[in-house]
Amino acid sequence: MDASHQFGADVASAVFENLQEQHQWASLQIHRLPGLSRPMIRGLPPRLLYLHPDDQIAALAYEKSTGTRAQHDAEFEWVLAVHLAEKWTLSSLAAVMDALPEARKRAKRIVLAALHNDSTVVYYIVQEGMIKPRQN
Amino acid sequence: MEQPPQQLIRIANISGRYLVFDPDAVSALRRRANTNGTLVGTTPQQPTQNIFLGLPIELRPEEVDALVSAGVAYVVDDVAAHRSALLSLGPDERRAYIGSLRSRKQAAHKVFAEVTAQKASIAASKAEKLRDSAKSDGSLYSRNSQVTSLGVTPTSSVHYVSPDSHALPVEHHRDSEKGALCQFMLGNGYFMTPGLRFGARYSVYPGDPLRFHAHFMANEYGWEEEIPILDIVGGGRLATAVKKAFLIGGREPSATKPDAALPAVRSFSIEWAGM
Amino acid sequence: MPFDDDDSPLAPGPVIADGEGGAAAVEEALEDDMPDYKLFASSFTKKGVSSQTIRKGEKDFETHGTRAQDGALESSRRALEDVLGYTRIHRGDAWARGWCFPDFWTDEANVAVDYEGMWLKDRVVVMEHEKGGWMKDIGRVASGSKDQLGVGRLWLLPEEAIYLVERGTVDLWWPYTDFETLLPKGSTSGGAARPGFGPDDYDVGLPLSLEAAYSLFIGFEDEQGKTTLPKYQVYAHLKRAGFNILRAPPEQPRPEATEPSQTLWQWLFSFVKPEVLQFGKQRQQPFGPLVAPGLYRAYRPIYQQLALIPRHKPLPVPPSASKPEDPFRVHFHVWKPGAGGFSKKNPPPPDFRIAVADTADSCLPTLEQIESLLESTPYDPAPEAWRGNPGKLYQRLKHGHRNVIVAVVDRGLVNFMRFGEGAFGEERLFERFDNRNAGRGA
Repeated sequence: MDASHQFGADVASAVFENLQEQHQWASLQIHRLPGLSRPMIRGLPPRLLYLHPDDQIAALAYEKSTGTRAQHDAEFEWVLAVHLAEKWTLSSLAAVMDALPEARKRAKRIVLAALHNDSTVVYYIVQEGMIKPRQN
Repeated sequence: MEQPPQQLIRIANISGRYLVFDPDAVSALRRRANTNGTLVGTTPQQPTQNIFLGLPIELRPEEVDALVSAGVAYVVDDVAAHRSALLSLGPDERRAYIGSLRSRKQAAHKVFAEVTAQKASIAASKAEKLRDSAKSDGSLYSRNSQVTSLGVTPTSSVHYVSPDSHALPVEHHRDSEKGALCQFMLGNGYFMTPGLRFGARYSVYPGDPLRFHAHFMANEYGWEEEIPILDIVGGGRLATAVKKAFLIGGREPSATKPDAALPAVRSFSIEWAGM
Repeated sequence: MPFDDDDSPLAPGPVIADGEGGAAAVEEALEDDMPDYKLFASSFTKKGVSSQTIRKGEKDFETHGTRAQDGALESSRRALEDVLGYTRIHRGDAWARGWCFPDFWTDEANVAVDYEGMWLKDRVVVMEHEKGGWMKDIGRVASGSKDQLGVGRLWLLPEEAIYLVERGTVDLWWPYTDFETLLPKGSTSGGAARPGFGPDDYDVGLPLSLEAAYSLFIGFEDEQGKTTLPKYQVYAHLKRAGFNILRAPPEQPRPEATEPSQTLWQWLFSFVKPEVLQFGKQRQQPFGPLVAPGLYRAYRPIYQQLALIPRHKPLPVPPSASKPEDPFRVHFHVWKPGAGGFSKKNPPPPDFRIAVADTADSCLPTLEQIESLLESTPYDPAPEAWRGNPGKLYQRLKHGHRNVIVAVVDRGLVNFMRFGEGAFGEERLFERFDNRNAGRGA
């Protein structure tokens, strides 16, 4: 195992633990996807992490017409673990997106987890293409 | 008056900056090419404020590139065009220009006369109410007589400098390495304003910024250009805090779209995950 | 609590005014690159509407394809087009004509007194007659021998000329007659137009458009008789806001920080390593604890041992000043509006010093660039009344010991950033720990 490979694995395992212990994600697994040198984490957050604004509007309309809240089950997410001091490129991000299996009805997305030296992790949703922001 | 659709929009290059002065051209850019530019001039109606600015508009070089390659606009060397017009104005052009100034003066005279008449009638009706109609008229007419000679400053030189004088050839225009994202967004109906206030290159709107909020704070990168993760975190966090997404994108060299006039651009939208 | 990842900005409910939500609201208000011109246009029909009372209109998230939305957009566009379609008209009673003579003072035949702040060779427009209060900081009267052409008249710099044309104050003309015919020697400014030289007499010259003014006076960096577009935009922004503004005089070659004459005693001591001289401080051991073990009854000696890293100390005369370089050099001196005693000939020390940087060709200044920019400004520590007052700590830090403003221009959008020479080492918090009254309890 070379150094960069080991680095990627270390960052991923730190993020893995953070997801498990701090954010109560379930069914966490580390995956090696074909064509990617970095490991990917896959897991289930305790509640739905992302709802597209159009689906949100639809859910509100549903609630208004039926009087019951629309149920949104949590969805499995792909997590890319990186260190805050790293530099990525459009090309390397595109490679990650391309390596993911075809997604649900919305654009492909990953959760970008940025690990800092004090073991803080911050999480960002990264989606393929121009996806309008959530509004609430 | 609508411009005929095939009429190209004239963009003035003044010492490396791109400006549009003609109000009809600015309106055509907004309505036909979803480009609003930045209003950078002082509004003479209210010159002591910085909220409502007026003509000219300034355009970014990459916006100009996109407009030129979309066949919407052309660029002239406005410094050279004015220099030659000022130093050697032909008698016909001179007559035409003076004619345009005179017609503007006449229009202004008419407006002033109407305003004065309106004021006179208001004053007269007030005076009638006060049953004191003796004084008002005299003073109003004497003020009117002062408005005999007027100076006019046109905003653009459209009646003075021939529109295609010193037009720059299209290929002369710099083919910038960057600009694909801008071209892609303009081609897809988005509007852009400078992103300075949010630390990004562009604020990107889903429609005319007169009506809509921005959706994205956007930066363009080269395909292999290094992007610090810290910049993604900072941009994503700030954009989310103002209900926008942080967009990064650029030209994907390997991807070819044989049919498309627009460059093959790949982009990613980033929002804070809220966890 | 500005950035706390535990607060979800996506959480429902009202936003808190003092936290991130407040910041977001401010940012959103700032987003208004496009305020509502409908309200602006309507303000002309009412009286006494200030720009503050014109609020932004409601905007939408995205298109709904409704007729109401299309109608609202269309009426906003029409309002904007009405505002932009305005033609500048100069009424006879307020007519002020300026003539373009861009090369007049570069011609050796024309002589006037040039001095610091005059920028004679950059003055490109001469006023035939002038009215109004705008001359407080704009234009200079060329002085010299009365039999010289151009002397005794008000001359404008390029940024002043464009601004006055743009705000509708000056009617700018291109001469088709020689200077002396238009502006004879000794004739005074002001008064009515001479016969044959009125606003309808196009034989002697032609009125110019705003576009022509830009094409004549906007240039590249260091072009004589021109200014750059970003500098003009900063100038006009500050003028619209009511400030008095003048070009900063060129930097004086600062006298070499003259070494204060040393006594022999000082000279001898200069050979001793400085850290030995840091009084109140024991020499650090290369090993062992930072704070020597012992009994301490006060914080001060502990903190003094912890002070290992040299701190920046602002000095009234910096030891080795390097020359500031573009764009990080002071270009404008600016005075607050309404301050008494302003004179363009003998301006008091400015309230603000402003450099102009363009996002297209500059980045955040390096430490060296900002240091030489700051060192080109006078030593300006916090006011006496703030010193020694713990309650004024943050004001002192924010004020700094020198300060300068960088106007950042992004294609016409102007933002101002203040840089201060900070000195955290001058604010020794630990000195206060020992002064606290006993009996506060732990």
